[in-house]
Amino acid sequence: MKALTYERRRLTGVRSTWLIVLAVLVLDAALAEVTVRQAALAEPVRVLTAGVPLLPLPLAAIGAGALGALSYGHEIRYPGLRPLLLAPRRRLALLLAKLTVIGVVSALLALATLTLDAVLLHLAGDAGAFEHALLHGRFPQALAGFVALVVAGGWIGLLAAGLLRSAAAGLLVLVALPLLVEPVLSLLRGDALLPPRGLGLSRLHAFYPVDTRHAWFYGPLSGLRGALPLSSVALATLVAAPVLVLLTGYLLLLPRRRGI
Amino acid sequence: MTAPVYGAGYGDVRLPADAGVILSMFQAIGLTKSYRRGRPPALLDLSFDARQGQVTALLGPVGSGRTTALLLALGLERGRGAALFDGRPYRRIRCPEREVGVVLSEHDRPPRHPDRRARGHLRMLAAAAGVPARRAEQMLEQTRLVGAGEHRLRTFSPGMNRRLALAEALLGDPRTLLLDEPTQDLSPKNCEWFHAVLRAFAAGGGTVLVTVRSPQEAAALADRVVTLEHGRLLADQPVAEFLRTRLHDEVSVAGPRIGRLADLLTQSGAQVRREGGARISVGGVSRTEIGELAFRHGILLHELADRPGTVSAEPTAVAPATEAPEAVAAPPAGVGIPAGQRAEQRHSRLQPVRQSTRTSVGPPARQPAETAQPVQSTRPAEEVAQLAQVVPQATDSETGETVVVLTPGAVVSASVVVQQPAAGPRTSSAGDVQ
Repeated sequence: MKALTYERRRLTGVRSTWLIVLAVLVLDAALAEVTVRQAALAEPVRVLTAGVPLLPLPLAAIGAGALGALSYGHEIRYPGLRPLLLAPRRRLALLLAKLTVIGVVSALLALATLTLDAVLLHLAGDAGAFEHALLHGRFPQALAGFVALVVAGGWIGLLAAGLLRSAAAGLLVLVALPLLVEPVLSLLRGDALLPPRGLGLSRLHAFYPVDTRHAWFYGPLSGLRGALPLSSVALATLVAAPVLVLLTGYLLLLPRRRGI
Repeated sequence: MTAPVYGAGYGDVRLPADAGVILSMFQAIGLTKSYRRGRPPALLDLSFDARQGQVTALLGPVGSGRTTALLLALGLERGRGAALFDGRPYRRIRCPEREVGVVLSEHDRPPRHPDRRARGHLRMLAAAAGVPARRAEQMLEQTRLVGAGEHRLRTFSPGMNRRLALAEALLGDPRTLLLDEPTQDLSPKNCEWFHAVLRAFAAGGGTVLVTVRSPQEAAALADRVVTLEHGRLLADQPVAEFLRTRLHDEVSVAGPRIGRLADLLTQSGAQVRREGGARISVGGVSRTEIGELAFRHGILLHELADRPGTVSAEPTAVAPATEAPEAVAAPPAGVGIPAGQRAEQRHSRLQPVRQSTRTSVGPPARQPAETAQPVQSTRPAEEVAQLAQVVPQATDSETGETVVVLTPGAVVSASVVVQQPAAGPRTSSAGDVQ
């Protein structure tokens, strides 16, 4: 079984792949263009990553997550490989192939977004200092974080779809995760939201992100601005943790399942 | 409720000692699928072999457990018992796609992405099976889908889908094929093609296990027929024996006063099934007897014919094993034809219909040819007349022989010879059709 070749042919053979990539790039370009025109918002990193305040994740990460979720969703909806995937090692091979291919595609998607938006920023012509810094090899950390976030988004979508056996569920997990991360994090840190007496019904609102200064609009993973001040290490952990948790869950279930 | 006969040692079952003698590629041992309380088991202790170089049909009505048997054999469903491919369960085979090709039933939703093109789809699966991409092209050629290679799969007809499924199964060049109702609801042409491919595969040394719904198809396709009913094994026979014992004779009778005949037949103990206003099909009575009965009561018949694909189940009409395949060689043409269409064919063509008690027919050399003749219904009229001439000669001994020659818009003549070898045929014109 040549799982990598299979996955590459599978991904490039369906129209939805190209549609998603195209949609992400077009929307990113449009967003970057809008951001560039508003001087108050036109922070270079923000233009490059085409961040939307209302979305918990950058568009490219959601697109990559959709590709990942559809990857397993495809196997579940069209189970042509079912007899071949009975052996756990086959499923493991397929998982690794999917992780590789989706990882590469997600990274390419992130780079394409950055390139496209950089072109738009250059055309707008008022970010000379930023471009100068880029050309001299001083990349802001946020850009690397953006690429990592997109790749992680692809993997989270992929693994969640595999774990829950549904493309929609995979995408839902991806979108819901950033919203859940912040309250859980603040809970773990004990940010004075929780009294030592424990959690009464009246304090359930502590779990909802709405009250923490409305920062849930952005989410800590969106790379724009979080309500909690996070170090880069903490942010990297936040990005990697869901991937690892989902991967562990999938690997634990893998020998116990008959299909995907 | 359902005691497993062969224990639960799933992977530990080995071939019996005589496995070298019987070249068995697929072996099912005590396949059992039972549900929790209250429901009867879907499959109960099914054991059979599918041998190399043979097509084995798993025959049974819908819900008799054929598909469950296949899924259990592949390990796609949980159950008890073991299924061995060359002595190993499917899960233990290192490269299952190189050993076993699987065509699962698709129902109404084929398991293929509708946006994909056929060629790309097969190339993708070639990668999954670990074979080079040119093998996909070969399979497209073999299944006559080259022309549709660049079409999207959503445009594929059921027949094309089924052929593509076969191409997928054959990608890894397997030695065993498992197919679940590959010809169900297909056009007669596609059915024939499928039969030819499966037979050729078996002739090339492969093992074919195929589930079928219709006994006629099983008889036409298989070398060995395993009959299931309600999840239980009913019979496991070579096709000749199957033809002799399990196929029921049905005679299609049509005429203006068919109700009267139906009553008479019911009284004499036959199973009568109505098929529209002027047609019944009768089981349990030979055509000879029906003809006699109709003649004795002066009932006009427009048609009196065996169902295509069925053979006589009379105890005396036992066909020698070598003849059996010939007797059913022709029927596949009519296997998939709807009943109405078949009836139309019968009406529109000059068709000699005869039945002989084979054990007593004089020259044995002539027998196969005569058996085949009735189906070749396009022969000229004189030949039919000749045939009608020949028949009385062949019945010189004490046999019953009925010849009914039907010509649209002409006289229906039935000659009945009953135990009167010296008197010759007693011919009577039963009446004008017009």
